[in-house]
Amino acid sequence: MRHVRSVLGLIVIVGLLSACGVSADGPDRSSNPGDPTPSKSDGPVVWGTVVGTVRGPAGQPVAGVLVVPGAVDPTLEVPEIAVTTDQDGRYVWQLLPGRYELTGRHDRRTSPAAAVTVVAGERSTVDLTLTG
Amino acid sequence: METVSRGRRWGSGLIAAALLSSAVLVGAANPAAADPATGSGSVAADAGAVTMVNGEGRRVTIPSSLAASLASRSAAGAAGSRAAAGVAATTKSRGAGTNAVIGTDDRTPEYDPLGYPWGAIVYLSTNQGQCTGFMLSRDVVVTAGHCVYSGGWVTSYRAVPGKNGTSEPFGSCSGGIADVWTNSTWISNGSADADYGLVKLTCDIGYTVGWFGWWYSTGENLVGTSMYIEGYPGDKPFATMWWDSDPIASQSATRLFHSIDTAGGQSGAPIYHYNSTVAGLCSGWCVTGIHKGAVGSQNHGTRFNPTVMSFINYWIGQP
Repeated sequence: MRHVRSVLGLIVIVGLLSACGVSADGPDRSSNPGDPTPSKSDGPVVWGTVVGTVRGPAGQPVAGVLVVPGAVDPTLEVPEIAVTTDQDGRYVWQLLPGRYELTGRHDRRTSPAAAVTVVAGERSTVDLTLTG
Repeated sequence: METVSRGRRWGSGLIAAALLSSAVLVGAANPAAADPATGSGSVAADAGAVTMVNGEGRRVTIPSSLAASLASRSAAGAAGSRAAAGVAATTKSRGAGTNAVIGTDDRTPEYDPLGYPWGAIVYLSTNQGQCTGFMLSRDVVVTAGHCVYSGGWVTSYRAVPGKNGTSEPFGSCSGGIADVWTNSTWISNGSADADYGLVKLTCDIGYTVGWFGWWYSTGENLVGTSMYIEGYPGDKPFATMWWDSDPIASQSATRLFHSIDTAGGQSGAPIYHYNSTVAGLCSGWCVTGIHKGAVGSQNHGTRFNPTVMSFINYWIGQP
């Protein structure tokens, strides 16, 4: 009896959603929830990737460095995510295509700006070195 | 503080979800019934359907007839159970850190990060970086679209309202790819006009910390009106909350441009004001936009409008 009532309830729900004009697809189980790469519903590739390592003056990788992009093109939008380096000094930025300058900031030290052109679907490597 | 968490509620709350969805969307199609305060705006054009997407491939579409039907809408905020002693002021008080401003950086540390509504500002750390968000219901954290999807989905997050350095006085909510949502336009072309998203939390931490009110009025001119932006800049001491205020410099139907000081980590921060600028729409601390970053010599954010709020309200109405 409980099963029958559940089925009837589901029918009512579908009817309500249809009446509201709302369409809702169930989860696409073909995608891997643990995979950060775009699933099939994500559309065209419009982002590019910049990776790199930030090192100190002595060449050692530095963790916790804030890597900040700045746009060279004034029409380009710069997202304000705080991206910091991991324990191995590595960082990953996903950016829309365009020309950027990346800078590392850690305590009172910074790195010289490094230029990069981000291309959709491509990965660029920009390593930075903190000075001072 | 113990982490507040409970399981997903899709199964047990499905009937309630359908009923709430109906109420929200039917209400949105009937301005008089949904919101008696109509404000001064003109009726919005049909902005098209809103298709919401999450990292598991779920898609929910609100048709254009419902997504863009109101010229103005609003909702009140709530202080939450812990904030009864909080006193809302009509102007923000500058704390002891005011004199620490360096150069032209006008950001000021929040002296009361636990008080309402600042305790409803969320430190949002993900596998892709750290952003800011803000509570808009018991379990919805609104943020920028690029804070949940930047060429790949956020697959893990931790939302900490009112975080103050290492202190997490209200606990936190953690989750994964199934909880993060944005819209299909942001996914397909990264349009600056579609950079909004949210996290449907797996806990009801908003009942503790409260949430902001909100409003929009499509016809109002916000240029010259001072707004606050407050969040967690990554260039300041770890996980500390900072704010600044300046007038809106220009606007479009979908964005607000300004010179309010911000930094990386503040994407997703609320653009807010004390009382709605259209009288009667929202009382108290009310949000009307989502900070997203810099463009040219300005900062800018997503402006609340019928499309954005149809998206957000859908998830506020879900169990």
